[in-house]
Amino acid sequence: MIHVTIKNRSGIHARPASIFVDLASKFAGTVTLIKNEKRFNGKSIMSIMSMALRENDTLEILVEGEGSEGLEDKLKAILEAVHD
Amino acid sequence: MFGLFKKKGEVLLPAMKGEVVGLDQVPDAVFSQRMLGDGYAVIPSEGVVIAPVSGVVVQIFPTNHAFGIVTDSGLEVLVHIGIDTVEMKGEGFKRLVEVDTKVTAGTPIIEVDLALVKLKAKSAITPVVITNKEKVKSLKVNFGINPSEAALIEVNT
Repeated sequence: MIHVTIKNRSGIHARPASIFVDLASKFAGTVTLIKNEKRFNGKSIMSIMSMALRENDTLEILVEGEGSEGLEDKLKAILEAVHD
Repeated sequence: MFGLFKKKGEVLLPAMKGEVVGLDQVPDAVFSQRMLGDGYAVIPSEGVVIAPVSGVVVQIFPTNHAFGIVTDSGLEVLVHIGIDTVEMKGEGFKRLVEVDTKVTAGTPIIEVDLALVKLKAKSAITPVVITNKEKVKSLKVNFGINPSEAALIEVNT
């Protein structure tokens, strides 16, 4: 589990969500985003968009399954990047 | 023929009045390269955005420039009003329903000031995409001005 703070000014909208899901979907295990104890499917664009993540929001990414080494860091980097 | 199709398919209405075109016309690679999924786009002539399908409104962006509907068959339909409209921070967009509302196809969801979008955003073209790609077996777009149905989707079960 890894902690993330959103830095993108307009939050996580279509573009960063699609980049995130593209990477998450290549992984066979599960990718879960956790915000305020609510869990969201990290492989679903709509699920991530429904989190309505805004600048300065914090959340956790949980990656479970084989071959997950380094994936949490890469996914964190996508969410923490400034896309716009 | 249509009756046969309907049993395992879904119909997407045009989300707005105007010309239905292919996603390749959208000046944003996220949509034109179908990174978010397949669908259609509409070049709008009027500022009312309706639900293209019946389902539950699962998300309306805080800035009201995009919303998502999930159908009974599990299709996730994203309507993104204009391109780079996130930068408008909600100005010119008004929501007509709230999140978690069950709506029927055709229900007005957002009202948008098209003149303002054309002035402030990159484009008013509005893509409508299925974001859970694995559900889409095939998708056919009806191009043209104000078609009664914008796209027909065969759904994987």
